Amino acid sequence: MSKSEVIILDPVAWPKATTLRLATRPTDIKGMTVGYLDNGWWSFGLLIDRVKKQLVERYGVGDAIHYTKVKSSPGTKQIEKLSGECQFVINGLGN
Amino acid sequence: MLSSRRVTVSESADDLLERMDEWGWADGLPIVPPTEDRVEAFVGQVGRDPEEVIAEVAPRFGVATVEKLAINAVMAGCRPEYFPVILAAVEAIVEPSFNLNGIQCTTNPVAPLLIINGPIRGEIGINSKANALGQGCRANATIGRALRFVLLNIGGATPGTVDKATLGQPGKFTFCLGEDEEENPWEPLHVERGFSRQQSTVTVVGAAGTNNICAFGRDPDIILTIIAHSMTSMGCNNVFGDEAGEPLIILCPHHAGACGEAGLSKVDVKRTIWQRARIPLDVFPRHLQQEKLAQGRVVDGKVLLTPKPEDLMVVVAGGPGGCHTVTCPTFGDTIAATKPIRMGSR
Repeated sequence: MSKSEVIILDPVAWPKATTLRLATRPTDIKGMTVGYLDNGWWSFGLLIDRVKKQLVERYGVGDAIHYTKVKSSPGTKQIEKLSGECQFVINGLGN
Repeated sequence: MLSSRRVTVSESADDLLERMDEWGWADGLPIVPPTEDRVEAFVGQVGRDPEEVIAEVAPRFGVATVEKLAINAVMAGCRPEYFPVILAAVEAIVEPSFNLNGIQCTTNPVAPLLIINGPIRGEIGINSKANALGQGCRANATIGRALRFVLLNIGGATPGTVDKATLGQPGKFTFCLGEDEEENPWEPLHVERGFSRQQSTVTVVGAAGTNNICAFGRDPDIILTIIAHSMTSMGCNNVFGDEAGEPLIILCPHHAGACGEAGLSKVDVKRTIWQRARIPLDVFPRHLQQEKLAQGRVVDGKVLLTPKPEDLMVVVAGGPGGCHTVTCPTFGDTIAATKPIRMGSR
């Protein structure tokens, strides 16, 4: 280190190393009930009509249930309702 | 023993500013280099283990140790004696009901506003009087800035990628003031929230900006009418959102004094503003009319600002002689949190 240099400490912090486990992904979604969790943004409405069409035509999904988020992050109550009524969920996040 | 990665940089202020810009560690303004001796002074101030974990800060959930918080506080230009306030503020922002994850990532301009109460205001020079939300006070300026650095460097809220604010607001540089308890005719905020008057505290509010309300005279009926009608903005989250939250009213000493002299309590002030801060339902777009009705937010054909008068927060601050109260709409889906400030071993 020259006289014109200084050593500083890095202010950035990272998360603890943890192992996250994803829910088991279905290999075949034919006939499954799908939930659409609408976050209210215009882009969700724009995309989801196309996604719904593709899921029916290409993958043969069964019933569709449309939900509206009651707040930005669905709480435990809404997640429990979703998991009880649907076999997988398309979740609207951001815009 | 400090464990953070060491980085060698030029002592030149120009070069250091360039590195901050390149690495995204700061806010576009010059910083104080967080050297080991400076950081050690901050850790020593609170007498805590530098590895002690204070919080995990959303949305990245970076681990906020005493050491990492000290580094960010040094960078912001704090004095060591400010550091206990920053530790308490970080404990407050991670309260689940504060909804930091939403606040950090939203397109809304919301930023945590820090309200300092108790004896620490005098001890470290927190400004609760003239220009309390403006420039000129090192404690207010750098404590708020330190919290912003924590949100950035530990929470990971990089503007434009994680922090998706459409425009943001100046309060995202720094947003901190003290309550003027001495000019407050009622109990101060921290006492209202269950702390003793001698306990110093910090309260965090998810504030979406400031709205100046000019009301001349000393008639509380006129003052509160003007404040109430100035808070009824259809586009603020408190009104149009699903969650009304807690709109903040920072009464100037003139307005607070006028209400106090007239015999009004803080509860009276909240109730009067709440009763008058309503928007006719029929001016709302049709789909919002349906939402407000479904939320039970409509009384006598008018939309309530909040479901209950006690949802409003009232503090007192500002200089003498003026007639300018400030209100802060909030993110809506956020509840203010208050934490005690622990002064440490020194």
